[in-house]
Amino acid sequence: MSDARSREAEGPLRRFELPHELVPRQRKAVRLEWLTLAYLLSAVLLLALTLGQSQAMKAAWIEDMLSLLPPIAFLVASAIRNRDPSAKFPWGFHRSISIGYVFAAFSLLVLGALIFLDSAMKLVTAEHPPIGVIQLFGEEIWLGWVMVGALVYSAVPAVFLGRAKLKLADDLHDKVLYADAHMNKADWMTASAAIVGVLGIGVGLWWADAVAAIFISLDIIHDGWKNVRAAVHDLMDARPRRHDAREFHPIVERINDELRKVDWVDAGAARLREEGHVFTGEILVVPNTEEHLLDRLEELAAHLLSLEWKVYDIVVVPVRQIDVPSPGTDAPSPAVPRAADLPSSAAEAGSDSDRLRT
Amino acid sequence: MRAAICIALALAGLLGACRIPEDPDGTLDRVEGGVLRVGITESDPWVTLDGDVPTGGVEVALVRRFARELQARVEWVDGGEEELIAALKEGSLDLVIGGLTSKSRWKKDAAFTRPYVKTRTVVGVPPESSPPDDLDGVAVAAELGSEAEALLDAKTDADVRGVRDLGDVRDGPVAAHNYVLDDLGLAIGPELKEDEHVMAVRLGENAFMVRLERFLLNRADEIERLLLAEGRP
Repeated sequence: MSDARSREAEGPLRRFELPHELVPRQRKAVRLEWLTLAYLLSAVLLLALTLGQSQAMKAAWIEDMLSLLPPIAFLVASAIRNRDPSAKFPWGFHRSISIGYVFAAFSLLVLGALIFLDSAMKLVTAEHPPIGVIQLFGEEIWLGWVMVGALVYSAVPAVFLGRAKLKLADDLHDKVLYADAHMNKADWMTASAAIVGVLGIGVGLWWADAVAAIFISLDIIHDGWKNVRAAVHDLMDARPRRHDAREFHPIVERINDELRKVDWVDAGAARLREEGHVFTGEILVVPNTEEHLLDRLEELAAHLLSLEWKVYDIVVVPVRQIDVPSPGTDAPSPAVPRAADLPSSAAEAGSDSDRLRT
Repeated sequence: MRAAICIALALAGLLGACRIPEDPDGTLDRVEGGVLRVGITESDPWVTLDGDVPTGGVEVALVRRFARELQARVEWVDGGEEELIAALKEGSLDLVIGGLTSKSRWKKDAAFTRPYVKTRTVVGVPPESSPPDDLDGVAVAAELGSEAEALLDAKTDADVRGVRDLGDVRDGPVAAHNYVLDDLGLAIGPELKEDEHVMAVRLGENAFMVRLERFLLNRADEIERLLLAEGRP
């Protein structure tokens, strides 16, 4: 076993997923997420105690519960993603990050949709939320003030947690962390909306909080949709993007450029997919010589791996002809015609199955 | 417009300048020095009626005192609970009373005050005897068709004796509300159930509700005395 490990360390597959300089950042991120979890649980408890009969705070409360999901997803993924590949999971566990990302992104989207529907219903049914008094330390206080206090408690730390995570997500190229930072943003924004809502009720504007919540829900839905799309693209092995999904990751073009510089390669194309933090995939090359081919391939693989820490597990394959599309290369038209180009065959297939059924 | 000014003042930190919370529909302003429209439904000892005129009851007495505080005249409207809650929801009434508890099914249609008094359904036992450890096989009287009768049957192994009138029971334990035990000369024994009593106001009329809640919450002793006086077997 120890032999196998040392061989892994030397081969194209590195022992450590993250480069050494990023390991402390990762540890900080884990600490931050535990802190988030503890703090969110306390906020959930506090809001539950002050909910009363009012609907105004329900969105903020449900939201705090939903925002437990991304930190949990992050912590679970962080705990297992570095495990060694096994016979059962030959690619290792890097993808746990992608799965965590799906969860985190989806909870953001669901949250936005929930708040939107809830607030729209409140407006349509012209629901007038009742907020009475509460006895605290022998004094009767309007429950609204207590609610505002609880909401401030649930909003203020989320601002700082979100900012800190956004910075770490940039350094670590971590999508779960990125989605969670947006969840924290959603957190403090809905809490602020609820504060506006409670104060609105205080001055006799029953519709204030529903309107504020609708505006904020649209922003959360937008964030959620963007992240769900990116997460699904990852699982579809789409072309790698930067962690904030704004643009494509430049690594594929960079590898293709490198391939063009190699004199024994006539044509080359990289096909990479994201597995959590890291990229894996194939590098196809058309060699113009078969002399020392194995050595050349090995040398090329080592060179490409050294380009960036995210390039993690790649194989360089010699082929006669390149038939995969790759950005930055003169991609040949696909060898297999796409189904959309052949509408008649699809129709025939349909009629075939009809015939079988009759 | 007033709301806008209040928001501006609130933002400026001048909260004392306006009332918070405020009523969206202005109930408190209308009632003060005006008319308080109260829906009543018979529920001894909370509301007792003769025809459609209230003759007594804890909640009737409390509402009269509350109206005096607001310098309002009370207009009583009697009806069934559902009918009254519907009228309250639409704004024809300001307040509905009649033995409502915090377990009420009308939560979506009315706003309830914070519970202002707790009552208990208990087994009353003769004061001189030590309270029984358990009620297995003990004969306990309860009013026929009352909640106490069913609770006693479901929660204990007592030998339930249904009676028409609790006043007829001469000796031995009785299952009843805690506020009638003084009339029966019994002491409080094992508890069967607890109820939290509330009044219903229109949803969202928060200034009016807070005023009523403040009125009720400061009167625990007074309410306790009223209840003992009004509660009869």
